[in-house]
Amino acid sequence: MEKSEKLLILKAQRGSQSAFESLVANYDARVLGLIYSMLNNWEDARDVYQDVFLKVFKSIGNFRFQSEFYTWLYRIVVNECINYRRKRSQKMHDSIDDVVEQMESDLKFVHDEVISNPERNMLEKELQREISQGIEHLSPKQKAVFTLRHYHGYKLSEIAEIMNCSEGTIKNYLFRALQKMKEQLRDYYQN
Amino acid sequence: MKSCKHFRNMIWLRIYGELSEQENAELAEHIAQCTSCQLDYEEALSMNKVLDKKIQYAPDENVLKELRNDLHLRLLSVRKPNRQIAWTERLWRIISLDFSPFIRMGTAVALVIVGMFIGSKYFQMKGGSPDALKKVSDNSIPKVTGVEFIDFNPATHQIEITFNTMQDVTVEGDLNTPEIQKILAQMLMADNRPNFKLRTVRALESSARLENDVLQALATLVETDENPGIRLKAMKVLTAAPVTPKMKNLMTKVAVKVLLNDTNSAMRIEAFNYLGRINNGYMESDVCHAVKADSSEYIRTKSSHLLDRRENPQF
Repeated sequence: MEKSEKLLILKAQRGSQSAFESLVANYDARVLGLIYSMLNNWEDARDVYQDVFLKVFKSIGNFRFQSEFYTWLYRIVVNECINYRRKRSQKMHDSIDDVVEQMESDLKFVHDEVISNPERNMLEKELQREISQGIEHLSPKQKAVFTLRHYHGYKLSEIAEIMNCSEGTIKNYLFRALQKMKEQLRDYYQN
Repeated sequence: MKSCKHFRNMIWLRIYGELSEQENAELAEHIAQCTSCQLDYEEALSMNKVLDKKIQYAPDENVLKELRNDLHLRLLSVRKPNRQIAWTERLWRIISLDFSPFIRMGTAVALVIVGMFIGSKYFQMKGGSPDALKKVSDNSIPKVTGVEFIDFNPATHQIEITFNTMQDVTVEGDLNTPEIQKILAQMLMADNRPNFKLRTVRALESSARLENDVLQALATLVETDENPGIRLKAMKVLTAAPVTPKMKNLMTKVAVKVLLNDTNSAMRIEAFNYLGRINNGYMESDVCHAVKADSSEYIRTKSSHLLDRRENPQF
């Protein structure tokens, strides 16, 4: 951990909001990217972004410098995403309006993408959607491991620390996730 | 020889750069020889390319600024980590039980412990004095027909017995309680299993006082039990008991019988010494004569000595 980062954390632990906001600025792009990867919805990602950093602000006093700060931060991110999805999936069952809203949001996303990138052909769009759907079908933990490893490039040992599991368990989640993705994308990679 | 399954799991680890050099080499060697794994490897590479086509949307700076501004405003309204909390807020937190989950959990555990403590005190009071029986099916002492379990704790002086009557009964109480001793006396007479008898006698060894029933039962054991260990232990319990006139009367008869009839020399020595002790070194001459030819040298010598003293009191 860099000395400047440690200083910021210590100041934030003493209640300095500006120090905390500097820490946020160092990490929030990656955090938001990770949240989006896990939730696949910008509106949800924005909500969870706020929840995560508020939670971090309240509990930064508990950070004991026994691990890297990002490991501790990402653990909160992953847990928040998993909890958010769990709550949302319960709500989704409760209200058809939410389902419609989600579908509209997804359609708008696809539409915006096609308009803003006209050169991309529909096959690629379809592939994008298939990958997203494949990720959606993963369990929350499989999704976290797969996303952190494949799209964020974290080592399995780091993911194990973030998710507070053994490396063997993380490998297990990863292999299962890849197996499911393999089934989902069979038509694409075989061609 | 590692299986294909082992190498298949390694394929993705290789793609992710998670394998050591040696593992990489092993995998490469296997793939070169195994067509099936080679196909899997190529398939994984293709799939990896497909997965990489998912566009990773990096949030642009404007979105981040907007989010940071929102966060800034929300942080202003949030309690800072080390901010001094006003006493009114503290009080409200106490009243509304707004504590961290750990404090809540701790409080719950503490309440359970306090509850258990109060409960134990209450039930102890309800049960009367500590000498009383804790559990008895009814107030009468049932007839013992067999013993299932006996356990004595010398530290607490508590004994637990499970014995058969018409139905199993478990009682628990202080060893010195007359009811407990009555049960123990019955057990000594009714149960033929040496281990239970021995444990009962051992427990009685720690008793501060022995009830008549127990004394009689022990005396019967001393005279009739087949097991010399049990006889000796019972004898020791009896000989250690305070010498009352009634006890002296009983034990004199028992000790003489043992001295004259018991085949075990340790028993006879114990009886001989006891007789000497309760009579202040004096022993009936008939008894001394009777044991003059005892097989135990100790008894022979001692009895000769006593006889000599009787015949020559000046020595």
